[in-house]
Amino acid sequence: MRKYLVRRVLQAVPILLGITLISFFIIHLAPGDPLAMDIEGTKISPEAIQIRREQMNLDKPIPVQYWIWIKGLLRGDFGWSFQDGRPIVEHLKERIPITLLIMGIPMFIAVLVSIPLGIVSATRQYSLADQCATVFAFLGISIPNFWFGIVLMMIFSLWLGWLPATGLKTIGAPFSIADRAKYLVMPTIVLATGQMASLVRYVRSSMLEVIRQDYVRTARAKGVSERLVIYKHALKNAMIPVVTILALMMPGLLGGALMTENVFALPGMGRWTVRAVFYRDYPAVMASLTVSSVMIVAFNLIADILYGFLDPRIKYD
Amino acid sequence: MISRKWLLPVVLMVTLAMLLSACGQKPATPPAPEKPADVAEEKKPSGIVRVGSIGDAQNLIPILVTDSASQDIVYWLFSYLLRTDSRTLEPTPEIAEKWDISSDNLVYTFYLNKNAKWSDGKPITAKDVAFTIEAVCHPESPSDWFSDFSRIKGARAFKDGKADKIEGIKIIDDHTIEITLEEVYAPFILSMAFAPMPAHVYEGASIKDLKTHPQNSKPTVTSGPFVLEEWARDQYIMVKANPNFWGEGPGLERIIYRIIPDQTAEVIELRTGGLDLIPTAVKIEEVPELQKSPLLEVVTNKRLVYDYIGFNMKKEGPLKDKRVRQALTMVFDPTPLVRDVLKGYGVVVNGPLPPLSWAFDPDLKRLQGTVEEAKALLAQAGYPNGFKMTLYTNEGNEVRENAGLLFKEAVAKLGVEVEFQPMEWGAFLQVLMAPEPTYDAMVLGVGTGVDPDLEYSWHSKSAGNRYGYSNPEVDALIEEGLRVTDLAKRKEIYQKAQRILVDDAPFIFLYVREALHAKNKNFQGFDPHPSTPMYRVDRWYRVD
Repeated sequence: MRKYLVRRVLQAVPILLGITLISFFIIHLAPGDPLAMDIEGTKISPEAIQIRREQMNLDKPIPVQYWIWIKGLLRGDFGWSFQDGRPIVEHLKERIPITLLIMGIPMFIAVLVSIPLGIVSATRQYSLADQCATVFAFLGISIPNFWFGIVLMMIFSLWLGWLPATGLKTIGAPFSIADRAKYLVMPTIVLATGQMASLVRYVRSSMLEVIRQDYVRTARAKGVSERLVIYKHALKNAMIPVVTILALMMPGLLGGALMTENVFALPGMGRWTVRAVFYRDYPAVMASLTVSSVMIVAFNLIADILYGFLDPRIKYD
Repeated sequence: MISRKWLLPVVLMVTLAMLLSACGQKPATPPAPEKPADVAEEKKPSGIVRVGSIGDAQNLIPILVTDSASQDIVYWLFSYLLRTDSRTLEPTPEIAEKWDISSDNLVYTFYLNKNAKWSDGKPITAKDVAFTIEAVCHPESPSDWFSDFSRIKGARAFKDGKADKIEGIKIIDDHTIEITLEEVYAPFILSMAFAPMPAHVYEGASIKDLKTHPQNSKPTVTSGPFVLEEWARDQYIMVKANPNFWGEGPGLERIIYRIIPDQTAEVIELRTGGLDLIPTAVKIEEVPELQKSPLLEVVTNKRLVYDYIGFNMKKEGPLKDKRVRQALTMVFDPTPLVRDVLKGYGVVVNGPLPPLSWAFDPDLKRLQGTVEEAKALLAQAGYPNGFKMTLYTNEGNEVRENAGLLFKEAVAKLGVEVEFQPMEWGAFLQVLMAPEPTYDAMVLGVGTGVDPDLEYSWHSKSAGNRYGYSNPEVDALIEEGLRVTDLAKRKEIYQKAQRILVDDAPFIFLYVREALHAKNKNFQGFDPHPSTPMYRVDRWYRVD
């Protein structure tokens, strides 16, 4: 196991390097010039533009720019944002905790609700509960987040006046969990609904497949109670594809959710990343991509390890 | 059946919402302020106003500001040497209580108000004014404002590193500063409408690294009616009344700038009391609904920016020919844009100056003609059967997109085939700013400033003349207009230039959009200036 871990972590290094290299070149291939954003509408002279270009290293060939960037990264320096000149690390420090909060709670709720709901759906196939769960899942998948967000806002903020429409906290008020909760209700509903919807479907179909297996029939035949059959024999096996889906969802913890962040004015990573792309803020875009790639690689590894626990037939050596 | 299908999700949502919202629903109330000791009892600032913005500020050092959000906050935090009046657009005193201009129009002497002080209690002096100009003109300055001061004697030499000070700046005493120009420059007084920086705070600081200076993200020494209290990036900027404010007021205890990127959510916030003002960018389709509310009102004001279709005259081809441009202009009428798209919240412009400008010529007519006349012009230019051209604009501006479509339709009558494409902003800027542009035309906007000076956009040697317009007669008029200080004479010069520009048809001049603000009726004293809604925030107050 330890050997396997070491090998996987070592493998991750070239993978991550490759990702950053390819993304770096692709970003620079996109039309647009970060400097143009900066100087549009100002009466700046061509000489001053040239000086600015040199300060941003934009005058150098792209491979050289990549080399400068990767050298900085190895020292833990993501560079500075072209938009406001602050170090990217400072931006990340502001954004990551907030993103974890606004993404983590819905994900937690989604997992908590959708696994039991999926199991019920599968074991009582075509029952009323199953039908409801199916309708809910399809609604959850097909309703666009920004629209759902606005509808909730109209109901709970405009008509009922129960919840504040946007923001993260009452400005100027002392910190309290109740205050934070009030602001997080609607974004949480929006995000959790979407995630629950797909998870329920995965749990359901994976469970359906497992309960038709021979070993489940054997367990039933030898007189094990239905509850034990489902929760002891079937569930663990049914979890393997679910773990894969979860591992794919986890990087979103730091990736944020653009539409929801926009509607509810939450300062998460999604908005930050998209604005960085929009402004051709290369250092910010690269930082966001690097964080996401690390998350993806790490959670893939974690999923692989979990498979071993769920199914003893899977062994790593 | 339908109700049953909905049952589970609805019940789930409602329960969750109720559970969590039970925690409390009182409207936001920031903490009580500490009482400023030296403010007169009867005029204590009170009340909070929350202002919505789709974007966050970037820089709070005044000379680094290039975006409108940063500009908004700087107007709250800083006093200006002078300003222009929101109605007359005349320069009015602020930190400079008066100024003299020598008879040869070369020497400007500014007398600073002796009571003017920074928020740390130190006086605002001539040294601060000089420091700010030097910081802009410094060889390594990150400021984009050099062109404002380039006419000061010796500013160019200082910028190029050939002098260690600007020759034309002379500090007479703490409260008097004399500025000498290289040559007469009629609009110069407007260049002095800037916010001085506190020189004592920047002692020993590197001008090159101003962007990373702590004052840029947390200005502690400012001069305006409000001081910064808290800036939570991409969430809000909170300012509170400056207890050391040297002027009168402010009327409000706090202003909060809330960053809400979604415009629909912004309107919901306004209607629920989470915002008191949405400045400038209210959508036209929201106006009737907002006007129905007894608590809200929509305020509009005219502006100094207009939209146009600009022809690329740098590129070889039909549009280099004046007759072709005239023909295209003749057949295009922007009236439907103002009537149907802007719903009357705007006005057609016929020339390069908006109606608010004092040099505007109300008798100026746009080029008009029948389709036959236009066809004849095209035939004379050698394009009897028309030609193909590209037209771009930035994505997401509905009025500009409509202008492009309308243009395409209008010139089709002449056999001109337009490939019209709205583009993503970054990609658009790259096409627009290419040194050798390949597009044929752009739908875009331009600001003219308070002075009618046409140099930046129209002088053949100006960096801002991006479409390659060149007419020696206009160049001469522009240069003359900058040298003559007599207003009546200047007006005559600009009216002449406007007529030539209309006849040369480098642009199809379109419309000036009004700024549309929506606000709570309890918030009073709002007096938008044609170039900013954040005018005289010291006079803002609440009546509830």
